[in-house]
Amino acid sequence: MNSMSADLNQDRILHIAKLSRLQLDPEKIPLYEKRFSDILKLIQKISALDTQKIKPMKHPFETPGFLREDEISETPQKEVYLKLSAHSDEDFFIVPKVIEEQG
Amino acid sequence: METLKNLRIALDTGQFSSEELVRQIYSQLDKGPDYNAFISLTPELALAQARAADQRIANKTQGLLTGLPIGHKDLFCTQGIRTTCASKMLENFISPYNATLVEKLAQAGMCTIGKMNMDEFAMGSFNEYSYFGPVNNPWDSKRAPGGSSGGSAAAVAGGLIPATTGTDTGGSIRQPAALCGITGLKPTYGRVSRFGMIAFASSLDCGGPLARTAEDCAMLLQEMAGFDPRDSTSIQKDVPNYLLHLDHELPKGLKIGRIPAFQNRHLSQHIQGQFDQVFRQFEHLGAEIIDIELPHLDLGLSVYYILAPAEASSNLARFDGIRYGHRVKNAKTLEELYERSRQEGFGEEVQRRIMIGSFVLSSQGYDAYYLQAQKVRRLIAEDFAKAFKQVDAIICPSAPDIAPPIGESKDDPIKAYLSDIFTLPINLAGLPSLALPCGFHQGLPLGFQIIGNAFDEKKLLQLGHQYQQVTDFHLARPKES
Repeated sequence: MNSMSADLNQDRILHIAKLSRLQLDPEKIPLYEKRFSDILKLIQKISALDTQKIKPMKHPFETPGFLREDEISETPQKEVYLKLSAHSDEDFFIVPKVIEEQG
Repeated sequence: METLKNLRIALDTGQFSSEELVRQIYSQLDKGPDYNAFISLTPELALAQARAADQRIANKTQGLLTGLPIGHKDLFCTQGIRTTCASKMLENFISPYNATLVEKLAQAGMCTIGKMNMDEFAMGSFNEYSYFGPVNNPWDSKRAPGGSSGGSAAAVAGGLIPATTGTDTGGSIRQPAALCGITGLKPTYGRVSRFGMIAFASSLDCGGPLARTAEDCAMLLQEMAGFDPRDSTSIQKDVPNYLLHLDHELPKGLKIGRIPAFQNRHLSQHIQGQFDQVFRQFEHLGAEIIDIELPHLDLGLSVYYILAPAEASSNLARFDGIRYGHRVKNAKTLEELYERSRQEGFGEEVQRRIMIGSFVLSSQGYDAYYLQAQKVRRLIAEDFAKAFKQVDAIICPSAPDIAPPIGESKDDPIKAYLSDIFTLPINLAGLPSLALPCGFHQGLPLGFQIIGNAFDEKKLLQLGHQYQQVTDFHLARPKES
């Protein structure tokens, strides 16, 4: 197995932060390296086990999830949910511009 | 504070009204120490619920819990009342609906006193990772109450309230119950609805009660349990009468499993004796103690710290700064809005777990960690399944040691993770487990758990109740309270 702790460096930490959509304070990166290598040591304890024949367990009880009848049960409360947002108007959540104008 | 059982009798015989009881709770909170156990108090709601309950009692239409006080862990959504998850991210979040568990207990006539402090998003073992500050252990205010349901446990232990709700993803009901000397139940996965319970790790999360006694936990579970069409993982299975056989002696030939190797490896030397005593008590109650081995239990910690962060990283992706929750000002791009809102809104431990989760789910980590952990999870579940062919229940400690001083493990996350070594394998297997107090060391409480096969809550509550008939650890009170 490719050991993560061996090549855990600043770039890898920043990549994981990017995947997590978290802006990292650059000063804290050394601390993250230390913490991560400790945690990786802990979770690597399972890697030696031969599990080739074992089926992954996703859920405590692998019964199919409950599906209800397709009936109308409640009406959407658009205005209630829009009000929870820090920035919305009557119909939309407002976000910074995503599509750039072509020059 | 009396037990729910005794308060029920007092309300039904007119010794005092629910409104008087609720007012007395708030007046005590005003005067005495509150251990920082509450994030919000909800007197208006509680008094309205108490007056409605008094009507029901006057009309003789009350149920088991009508007029009794409850506090909800602050990750159960409460309509019109803020639900923070102890996070800056949700500091001002007011849910438009109630969690099913909140709704059911309100329908039963309980009075919501407030929302309980906890580790942020239920990630923590000592209630040190709350945006609203740490919770004090009522037995020694310099010590932690355990976590993540630390406020729920401390409030009951300190006599502020007779019962609370909590959630248990890797031990978050049982471990604080042990460190605070109270009783707490983690039900079977799917027995209690997760609807409106803010998700941490969806295949592990369980809501459940914390109270003084097994009997009180039975009263609460009676109303909390049941199928909910709004939770697709909720189990369609009848809810038995949990109170019916509590008073019965242990069934003849009952076999209780002990896991000596696992227990001795992880339990602090100086408290081993108290746990030997627990097994002796159950022998006196008529049980046969059988030593068993569950060979993969030691790997539970590693499996848990892969699967729980993986599920958390996915669940917490919803906090994007756009639809609800903390939103950073002046973000120029959408990416910046996400990244800075999440960086400002989440605390250190939550960010760390999201990142671990992202890593084990990434192309570099998926097979080696995530998939491997799911396979080892099955081995652990199979260990339990084999054990339950031999024994009716398993007993082991709820925590490896007494409550630590506040802040002791903040610089050493792994040490904090180890404090859940006894509880988290049970979540991986989805089984029920009842945590009970069993003694003291240096004036601080110790606790053990009775683990059952799936849907064996009734048996666990009966065993716990019988144990509490011949012991008095659950009656002990800290000096301050």
